[in-house]
Amino acid sequence: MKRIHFYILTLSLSLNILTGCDNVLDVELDYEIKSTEAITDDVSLRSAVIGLYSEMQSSTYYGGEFVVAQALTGGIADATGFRERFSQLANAIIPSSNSYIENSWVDFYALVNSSNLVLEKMDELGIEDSNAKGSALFFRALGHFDALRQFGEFTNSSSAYGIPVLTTFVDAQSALAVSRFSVADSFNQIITDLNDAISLLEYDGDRYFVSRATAEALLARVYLYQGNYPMADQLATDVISNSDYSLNTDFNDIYDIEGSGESIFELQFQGVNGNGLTELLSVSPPEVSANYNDFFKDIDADDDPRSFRFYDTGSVIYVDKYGTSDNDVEGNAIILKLSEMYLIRAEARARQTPTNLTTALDDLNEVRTRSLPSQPILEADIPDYDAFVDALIEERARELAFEGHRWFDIVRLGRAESLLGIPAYRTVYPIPQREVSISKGVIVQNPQY
Amino acid sequence: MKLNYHLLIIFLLCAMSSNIYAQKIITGTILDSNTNEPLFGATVINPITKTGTVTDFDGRFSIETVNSSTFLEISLIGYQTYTLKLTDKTDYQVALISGEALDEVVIVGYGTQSKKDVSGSMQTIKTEDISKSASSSFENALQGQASGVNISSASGTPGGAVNINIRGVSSISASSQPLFIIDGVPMVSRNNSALNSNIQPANPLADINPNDIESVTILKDAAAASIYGSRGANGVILITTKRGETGKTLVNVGFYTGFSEITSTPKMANSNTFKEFFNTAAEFDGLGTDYFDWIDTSNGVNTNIYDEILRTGITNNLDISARGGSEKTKFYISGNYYDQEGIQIGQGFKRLSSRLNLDHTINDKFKLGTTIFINRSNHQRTINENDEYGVITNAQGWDPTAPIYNADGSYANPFSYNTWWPLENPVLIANEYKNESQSTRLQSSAYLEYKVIPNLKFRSAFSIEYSNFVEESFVPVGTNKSDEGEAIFATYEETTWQLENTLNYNKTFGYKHSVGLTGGWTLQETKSQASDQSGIGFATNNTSSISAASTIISSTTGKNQFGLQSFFGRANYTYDNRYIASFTLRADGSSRFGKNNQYGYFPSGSLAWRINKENFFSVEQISNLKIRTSYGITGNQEISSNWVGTHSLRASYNGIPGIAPNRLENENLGWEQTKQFNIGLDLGLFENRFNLTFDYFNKQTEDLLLSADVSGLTGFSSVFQNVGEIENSGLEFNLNALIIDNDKIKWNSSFNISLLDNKIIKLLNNGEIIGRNHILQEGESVSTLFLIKSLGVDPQTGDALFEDVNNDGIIDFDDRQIVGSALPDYFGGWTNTFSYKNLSLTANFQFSGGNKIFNQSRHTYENFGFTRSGIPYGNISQRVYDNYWRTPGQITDVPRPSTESGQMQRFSSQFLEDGDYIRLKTLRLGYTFNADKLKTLGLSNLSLYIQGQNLFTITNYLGFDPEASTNTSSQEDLNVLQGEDFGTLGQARTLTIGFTTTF
Repeated sequence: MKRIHFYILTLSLSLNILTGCDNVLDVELDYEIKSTEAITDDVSLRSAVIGLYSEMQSSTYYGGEFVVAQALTGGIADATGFRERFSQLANAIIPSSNSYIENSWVDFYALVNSSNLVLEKMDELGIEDSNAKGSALFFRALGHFDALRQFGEFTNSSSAYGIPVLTTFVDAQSALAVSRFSVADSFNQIITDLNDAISLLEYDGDRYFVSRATAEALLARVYLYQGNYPMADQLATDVISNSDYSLNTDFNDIYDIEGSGESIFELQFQGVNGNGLTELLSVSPPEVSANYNDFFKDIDADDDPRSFRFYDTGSVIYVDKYGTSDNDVEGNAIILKLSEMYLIRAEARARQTPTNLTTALDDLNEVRTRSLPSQPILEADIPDYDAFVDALIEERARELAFEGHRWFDIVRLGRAESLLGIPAYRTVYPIPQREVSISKGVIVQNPQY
Repeated sequence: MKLNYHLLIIFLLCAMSSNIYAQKIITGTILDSNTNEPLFGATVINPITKTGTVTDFDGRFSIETVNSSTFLEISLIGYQTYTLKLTDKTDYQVALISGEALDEVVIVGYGTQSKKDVSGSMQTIKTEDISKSASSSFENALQGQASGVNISSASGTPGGAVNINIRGVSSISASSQPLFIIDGVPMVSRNNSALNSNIQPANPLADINPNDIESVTILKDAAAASIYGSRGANGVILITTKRGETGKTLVNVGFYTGFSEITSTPKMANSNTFKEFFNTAAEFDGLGTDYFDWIDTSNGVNTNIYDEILRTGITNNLDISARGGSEKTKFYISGNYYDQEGIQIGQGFKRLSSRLNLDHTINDKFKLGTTIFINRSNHQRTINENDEYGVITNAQGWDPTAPIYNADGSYANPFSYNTWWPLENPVLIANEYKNESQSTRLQSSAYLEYKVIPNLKFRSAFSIEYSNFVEESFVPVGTNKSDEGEAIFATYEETTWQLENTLNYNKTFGYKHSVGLTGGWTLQETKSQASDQSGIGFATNNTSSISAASTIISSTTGKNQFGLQSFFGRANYTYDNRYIASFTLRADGSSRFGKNNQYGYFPSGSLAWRINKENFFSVEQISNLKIRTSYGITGNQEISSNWVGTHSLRASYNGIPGIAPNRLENENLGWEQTKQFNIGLDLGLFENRFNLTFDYFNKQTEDLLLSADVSGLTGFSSVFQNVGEIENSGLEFNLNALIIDNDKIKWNSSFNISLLDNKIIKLLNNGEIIGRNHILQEGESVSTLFLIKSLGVDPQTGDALFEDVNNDGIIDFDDRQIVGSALPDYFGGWTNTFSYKNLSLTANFQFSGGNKIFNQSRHTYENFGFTRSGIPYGNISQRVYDNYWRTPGQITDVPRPSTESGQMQRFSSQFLEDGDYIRLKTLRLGYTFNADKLKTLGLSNLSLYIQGQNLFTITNYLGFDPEASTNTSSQEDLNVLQGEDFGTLGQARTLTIGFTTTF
């Protein structure tokens, strides 16, 4: 009998486990949650808005390569490391297989699509939260805007080569049907979203989160790129006159003091959510460093305080805006700052009245004399609009180097071809070939690529 | 009952047919060959008439036969079966030899099978061969021993990973490594190391003590492997450990010590030739003859960098085991200590393990037992291949005028000397950068066997495998890699439980119908968790603890889990020892796969015909002739991901938790499927003294799991999908001959060779995926090298010439083309064992070839004078110095030296080399003392041996060793990035002396 008991015991044990066997095939997740269970109420919805900031921090976006790419292609940075994609950017001859452009395309649209998911879930769940909605619209506009200036013919308002614009959430299947909008239509959606965001958001002076002033500042920039100079002027003025913001006395305070007076929106990087930029700028040898002849030489000669964030070893110039070693990962990415608003207004005014540059020059000097009080630009130095553009480009380089502006500046101001010696078609990046292939040509490649 | 009815009909038919022939009566006497006593009860069967009789007390028998009968079969328990050839005589005398003929039994999935009845393709390798290798892990001993199995060590790092491909690489993103089953327990064989990804991965199989292994069976074709269903596509390696035997307890002690050094190193230039070479380069560029005279050679350092980083590594191994038992209880206990010093400074591997295997027979019906195995391994590794802070990579460009130590004893800094390439003193990296890992593994299983009725056996086994990996790395303060110091502390823990229930039924019906049935149900679940922290900022270099870091820069934890539920069955049928048929089916459910695809079905069937058992077959010399064929489906599910679409919970910002999309869903995600056809022939001559096995196989792997591109508009670039196809086909040839076999001299020789062809049939998108130096392209093999093509050196100018594929006047990455495959076309081995009286000699050769290696290391030390930042790129090899282009008209493959970037050498086929080699893998001389002499010492056995490993290698390869590869940290890299040598430590040549004794 004993034997039989033993056998029955084993068998019943086995059966017990058998009844539990369905569990074996369940998927258990750790730091993840099933997408279908991700956004279900107002708490998780607000977390999804926080997630949008986190997506912006991607090491190929504002937490890294997007920022250095504009310096590389813009001719003020060198690719001194081993990565092929950076050499291609530095040469401004960018194949459609370049891995930076492949990643950045995905980054831009990840931000857009996630924003759309937030907006759709908000409707679906009936959640009223004007801050969340305003923020999501802001991020959708930002993603579209970055895509447009990186991949679209944004300087040509009649061009058909805008970007795919998404106002609903897409999945792998529905994405295949989306084609490019015209440049004008692309701008229109971005501007609509930002105006909506402005009406939903409030002024709160927060530097780390999107507020009404953040949306206004971005809209000023968007109008400038669009060529709507009166509106760029007006929006920049709105921000400049906002008492929450003032220029720091010392240019370098914006890097030393988090959330300083001049900062409108900076991405907060903390500890384990570190900024990937120092990994590119501060390793030895650095993947990306500052160019000597076309950038560092002059500001160093002027002893401009804006050169203090660069360290010249004699063979390579390190960029220390985000920290001095690759382990310094808490440096914030500056997205919008007040000095840029002055420069936007300067440019907008010069473009409106190219024959009368006085007010434009005032704005330019507002920025310049902070760092170089004894060297303002005099009206005599700028006989014409072209001379003004030269001065503006130089000033923007000094003020905004390695903050994601340079390439767009020289393209917008029409100097990319002459400065870099590239044919006109290369002033627009190619669309990643993989996107053209996957969409089976629904997404059209840029001309001549 | 129905079966019996059929059998009856068959019998009747047979009986009727036999009646047609004329009959005669044969009589005879059966004796014991030793005693010449008559044997009672021996069975005499006439296979033609299907009639039989038994002998009487006088050993006499009488049987009716027909004229067509040519032989009778005589058998008796305890004696070898005898085939009596009939002549004209009618009365015979037969002497039976006592002891059952060794009906060789082989281990198969979930059971055993008589070797003669095997219809699939498999190979068993016995313990003696395995324990003869003085290496940390048993796979090294299999190298060159098994046809169709390509084994290579990526580097000479002790305890480092070994790459095993059975019948080719059949996957791109999932693993191509076989499934390892140790005594029925699947073993996790992934690399779980979380340190710098450019450290050679640790080999989990090095946790197993080679001396514990009784045999290794390699299941190659679908018929053999499909019982492992979704994990069988890469073949299966079944490891059986030693178990107790009835009888006197035998204690076995074995010890060896080994001395290892690198097989070869490229010779480098010394201080003067280095300077002279760069001056020559400058002179060619019109910079004068003394341009590099600022390089200070006055102190004549002449550092031979390989002497500084390499050494003679000493290995000690001690094995103690005991086995024995009574009729009821049998045991095997063992302990092992293994301590290997690497041939490169800073590297080492230690193992301490023990095992207890216990079997107990309760009564006629019940039997139970357990296997307990505990191991602790310590890996000491260094950053190496493909890393700018690798020991070898820094050594390869080391300035010969730079000493290793400064006058004050501190490490010399390469930045104080004259080359651009080295970033750190390699001796400092090896000695002061710490990378230590401890692996702990516990495997335990218990089984119960229940003989339900005769021939029907139920077996239930429960097992747990627990493994744990704890690692620490430290980069000291004040080094070039880190000013303030960096540390990583990582842990990994994995637990797998498995419940396995099987039923086995074996019976022979009549004399001819032999049936074997196996059915089973298993559940398995694996859960793992890992944590990884890195910190910076250390107050002192006298610590490496992460707790001492001033800032934790990253801290992550992760969990992973997968479950498998399976049902399987196998039916074997043998008719009259002549026709063999087998059918297997497994159904696997896996949590990794989409709800539309959760269960997969893996059938296989095989047939074999033992021609030599046919009546018409009368070639006396041929003792075995079997034709086998099989076809079936196996799967591969070894991906790290699963099907569910997810949001990440790690998307926090400014201290506030957030969620963000993390992975796209694919409800249709399923297994990779391999359809394999196999046809084989087994031939035995002269009572199987001479054996030949030949197999042809064709493996079509479909539904390859690939990270398929999706529209970036989704915010994702890819999702795992089942697309893609790979084909592997090949021939395997095995020859074994007992050439001399007499009382004094024995010579056994075996040779095997495998030919393999690997081809990607289908990829996604536009049919190619381009990597840095590799490409995946339809029609080409995986691990195909993709480089700029070198056209040699222009004899007039000395310029290096390259093919400008796109004709744009610029040589760059866009000019890359396919230059060869890194997978060998052929490989094999030749093993010889001689014995003369008490001496034995083993000589194993191993070879491989047809593959290309991109020797990227040469890019560092053969850069033909190119300078960066005005200083030499790196040191040069003596070969470059001897052969560089000097005068117009000179034919050479080494270009004119130049400091300009025009001569800077690219990743071109200039550094592409043939990987062919043949090496004397093992040469072992052993002496066994006579037993009678040992008795006085109380020993029953004592043998001494001296052994050399990798004593010589014939190859044209210019690097350390042609058996090299880099980038092996992930299973995907193992598939697609083979054949790249960039700072990889070469193989070791080892001289071992040792003894084994039993008492």
